[in-house]
Amino acid sequence: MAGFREAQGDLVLENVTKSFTTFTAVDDLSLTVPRGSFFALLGPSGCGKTTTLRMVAGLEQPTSGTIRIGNTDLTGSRPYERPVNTVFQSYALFPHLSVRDNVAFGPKRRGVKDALAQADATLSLVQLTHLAGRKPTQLSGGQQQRVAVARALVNHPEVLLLDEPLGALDLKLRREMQVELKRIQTEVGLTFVHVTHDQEEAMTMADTVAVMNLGKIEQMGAPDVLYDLPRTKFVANFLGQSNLMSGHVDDTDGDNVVVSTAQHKLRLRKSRAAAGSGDIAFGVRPEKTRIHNADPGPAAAGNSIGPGTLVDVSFTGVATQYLVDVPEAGRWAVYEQNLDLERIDSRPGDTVWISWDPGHAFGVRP
Amino acid sequence: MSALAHIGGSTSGSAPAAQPTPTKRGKVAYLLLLPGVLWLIVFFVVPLVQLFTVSLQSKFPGYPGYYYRDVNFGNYLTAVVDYWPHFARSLLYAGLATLLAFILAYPLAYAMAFKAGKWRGVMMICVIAPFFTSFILRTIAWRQILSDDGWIASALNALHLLPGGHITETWVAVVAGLTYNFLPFMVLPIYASLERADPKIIEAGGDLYANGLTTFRTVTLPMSMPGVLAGTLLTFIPAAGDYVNAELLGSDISTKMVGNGIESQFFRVVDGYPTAAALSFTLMAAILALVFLYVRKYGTEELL
Amino acid sequence: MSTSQRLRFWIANRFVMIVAILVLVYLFLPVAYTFVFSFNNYKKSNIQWNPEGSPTLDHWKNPFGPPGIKDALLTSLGVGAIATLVATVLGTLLAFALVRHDFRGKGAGNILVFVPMATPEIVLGASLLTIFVQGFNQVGLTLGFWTIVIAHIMFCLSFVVVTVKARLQSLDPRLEEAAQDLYAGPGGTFWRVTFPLVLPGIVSAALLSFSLSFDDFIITNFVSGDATTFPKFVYVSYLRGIPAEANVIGFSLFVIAVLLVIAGQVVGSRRRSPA
Repeated sequence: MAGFREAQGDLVLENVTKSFTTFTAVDDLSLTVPRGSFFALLGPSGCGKTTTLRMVAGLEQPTSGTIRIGNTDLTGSRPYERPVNTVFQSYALFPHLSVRDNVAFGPKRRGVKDALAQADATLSLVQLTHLAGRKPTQLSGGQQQRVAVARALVNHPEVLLLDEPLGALDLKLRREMQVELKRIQTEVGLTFVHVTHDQEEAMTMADTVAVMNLGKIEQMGAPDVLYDLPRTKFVANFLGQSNLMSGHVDDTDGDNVVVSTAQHKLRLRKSRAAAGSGDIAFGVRPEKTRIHNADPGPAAAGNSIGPGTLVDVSFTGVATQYLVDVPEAGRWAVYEQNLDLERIDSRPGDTVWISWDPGHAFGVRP
Repeated sequence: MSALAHIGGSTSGSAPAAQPTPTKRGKVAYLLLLPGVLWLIVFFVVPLVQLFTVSLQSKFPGYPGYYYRDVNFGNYLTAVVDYWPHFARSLLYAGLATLLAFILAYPLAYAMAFKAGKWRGVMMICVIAPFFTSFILRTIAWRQILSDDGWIASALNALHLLPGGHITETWVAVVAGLTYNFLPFMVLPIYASLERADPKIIEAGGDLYANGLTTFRTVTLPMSMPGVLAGTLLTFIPAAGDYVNAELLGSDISTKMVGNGIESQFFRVVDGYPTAAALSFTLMAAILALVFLYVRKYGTEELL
Repeated sequence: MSTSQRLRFWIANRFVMIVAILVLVYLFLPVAYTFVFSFNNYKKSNIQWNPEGSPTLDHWKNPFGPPGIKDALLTSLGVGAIATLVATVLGTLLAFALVRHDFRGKGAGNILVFVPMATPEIVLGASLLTIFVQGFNQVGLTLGFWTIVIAHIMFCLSFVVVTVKARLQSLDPRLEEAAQDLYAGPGGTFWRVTFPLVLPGIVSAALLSFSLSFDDFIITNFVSGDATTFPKFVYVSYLRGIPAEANVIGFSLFVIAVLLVIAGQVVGSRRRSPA
C-alpha cells in the first residue's frame, strides 16, 4: 500500500498537544512506551486518554508535537498508513461482513495473498474458529470483543491500541477477558496501549500505568509502585482510596519529616514526601491502618490520630470497614482484615484511635 | 470524602473526548450538490416563480385565453372572494382527516413497534401494500363501499341514522376518502419514531404512574412526537391540496375543495390561468403559515 | 379473579393489537373490493355490481383488451423506472453532501429539499404546467412522457434525500474509522464500508420513489398532455365506466408488489443468518 510506513521500536509522544475550539484535550504530553510492553492510560472520562489514543491511531492529528514509533515519525500520516491497529470501544465490527471477513478486512486491504488463511489462524488464537461464518450481530458481547481483538491482531501491528475494550462486558466476563488479553499480549509480544477508566483493570493487566487528568499525565509507573507511593492527590484518590489530611512540613527527625496538622504531629519518611518543606497532604491507605478503642500511647506517637468517633461499621466478609470522624482531620476509612481472633467489638458512637506503620504513610502535593 | 466515591471504580463508559462525525470541507460537496440542487431550482423554484408572475397577469380584453404581464392583485381578491368556502372546506376536511388518521394510525404504529414481535414485517407490508393498487382505483372502491345500496349505507338507513339517506355525495365521504388515502403517511413516521424508543423507558413510566393513560400521555406520546409531527404534515398537506376525493366521492358543488377550483380554473375555464395561479399561491401560503405555527408549537429540529 | 375480570384483562391486554388489526382490515377493504369487482359481469359500468350476470373470469383472460390500457401501464412503468433511477442517484448524492460535508448554504440546501414535500401536489403540478407551456415549449419540450418524468424526478428527489439522510445519520462513525484503521484508504472505506451500509437506505428510497411515481395522479394530470399513465387512464375512464380489466391490473400489481417485498425480506434474512 502506498504511503504505508514500516516502523519498529518504542512508541514515543513528544510534547503532544491537542486543542479543540473550546478546550485543550491533551496538554503538552510526552510519553515513551517501551516496545513489547503492556501500557495502560488510566483516567476519568474527559481526561484526554481517548484523544491521545486517537492521535496515535491517526484518527486525530495533534495540534503540535510529534508521534514516533522507533525512528519513524508518524505525525500527519493517515490511519491507514500506520502500523497501528485499534480495538474500538463497542468494537465497531462491520455488521455487513461475516466474522471471517471482518478479520480478513485488514490483510485484504494490504493485498496479503492468504488473507483468509491468516484470518482463520488469528480466529483460532482467540478461540472463535467455530463462529467464523456468523455475522457480528449474532455473537455475544464477549465473542464480539474477541473478534475485534482478532481483527486488529491479524495485521501484526507494531502497536495495538485498546479503547475501553472491556467496558461493555459484565463483571465476570471482564475478569475472563482481562486474563485472556494478557495471555494474548504475552503470546504475540506486541506493544499494547490500553485506555481505561477502571483502575483495577489497568493495574491487573498493565506493566506500566499512566494516570491522566485534565490532559496531562499525573504520574506513571508500575502499578504496585504507583499504588504504594502516589505523588499527587489525584492519583492517591483515583488509584484506590486514600485518607488525606492537609498539613505543613516544619521539622525533620532523622530519616523523617514532621508534618503538623491542626491536631497532630505526624512522621513521614523523607523518601515518601513530595516536599521537604511547606504545605503537604499527608496520606495513608485505609487498608494500611488499624483501629483501637484506647489511645495507642506514646509508642505510636507520630503514626496515629485520635480520638475520633466511629460513625459506621460494615462487615464485608474479607474485611471490616470502619468510618471514623476525627476532629480537624475529616472522615477516615479503616479496612481491617479479620485476622484477630478476638475482634474489637466497636459500635458507631464509640471513641476510637487510628494507627499505622510509619513506612506506609505518604505525602503528596496539596 | 472523594476517596469513597471511587470504591469499586466507576462503571459508566467514557465517551470519546472529540465528536468524530466526519464532516469534510471543499469542492466535492458542491459537485455532489450540483445536479440535485439544479434540478430542484429549475423544476421547483423557477416554476413557482413563474406561477407567481402568472397569478399577477391580466386578461387581454377581447382576446379570450390571452394575458399580459401585470401586477394585478385582483386575481387574489377573486380567489379569496369566490373561493373562500373552498378554502374553508379544504382546511377543515384536511384537518378532520388528519385527526382521524392519527386516531387510527397510532394504535397500529404502537402495535407494530411494541406488540407485533415476529409479525412486525408482515404488518409493515400490509401498511404499504395497498399503495400498489392504484390510489384512484381504491378511491372508486370507496365509492362502491359507501354507495346507497352498499352494506354500510343500507345498515345506517335501516337504523334511520342517515339524515340525508346518502354517504356518497356528502362531506363525510370526502373526509373518509382523505383519511383512508393518507393513513399510511401517518402510520410510517409514527412507527419509525416509536421503534427507536426504548420499551424499557415506557415500562419504567408504567412503574412510576401505574395508570396506562398517564404513561401514554407523559412518556410514550412525547417520545413519538417527532413521528407524530412528520405524520400530521405528510397527511395534512396533501389532503388540503387534494381534489380527487372531492371529485370522486363528493357532490357537485357543496363539497368541492380548493384543489377542484384550481383544477377547473386551469383546465375548464377560459381565462382561468391567473385565477388558478392565485388560488395555488393562496393555498400554499395558507398551508405554510399553518405548518409554521404548528411546527413552532410542537416542533423539533429533526424535521429538517 | 372472576371470569368477567379475566375477560376484561384479556381484552385490555390485546386491545391495541385488536384495534391495529381492524385498521389493517380497513386498509385492505378497498383492495378487496377492487378484487371482487374484477369478476363483475357488468353491462355498462363497473361501478355497480350486476346481480343478474354470474361472476366471470373474462376480464382476467385478456386484461390488456380495452384500448389504451396497455400503453398506459407501460408509460407508468417507464416513467417510474426512469424517475426512480435519476431521483435515487441525485438524491443520494445530495444526502451525502448534506450529512457529510460542511459548506456555505447548507441550511438553504436543507430547506430547498424540505419545501417541495410541504407543497401540495396540485401547486407543484400547476407551476410545472405553467413553465412547460410558457417556456420549455420553446426549446422543443412538449407535454408528454418526458415532462411526466421530469416532474416525478422532482417530487421523488426530496423523499430520497430524507430517506438516505436518515440512514447516513444513523451510521456509526466508528465503523469508517475502523476501516481506515484497517488500511482502507478513502476509496476503500467508502466502497467497502460506507456504501454497503447505506445501501439498504438507498434501496428503500428507490422503492418509495417508484411507488410514489407509479401511484401519482395529480401532478401527472397537469403535465402529461396527451400521454396517459395507468392512474390517469383509470381516472379518465371513470366517467365512461372503468373497464374491469383495470381492476385486474391494479390487483395484480398489488399481488406482485407484495410477493416482491416478501421475497426481498426472505433473501435479506437469509443473508443475515449463518452461512
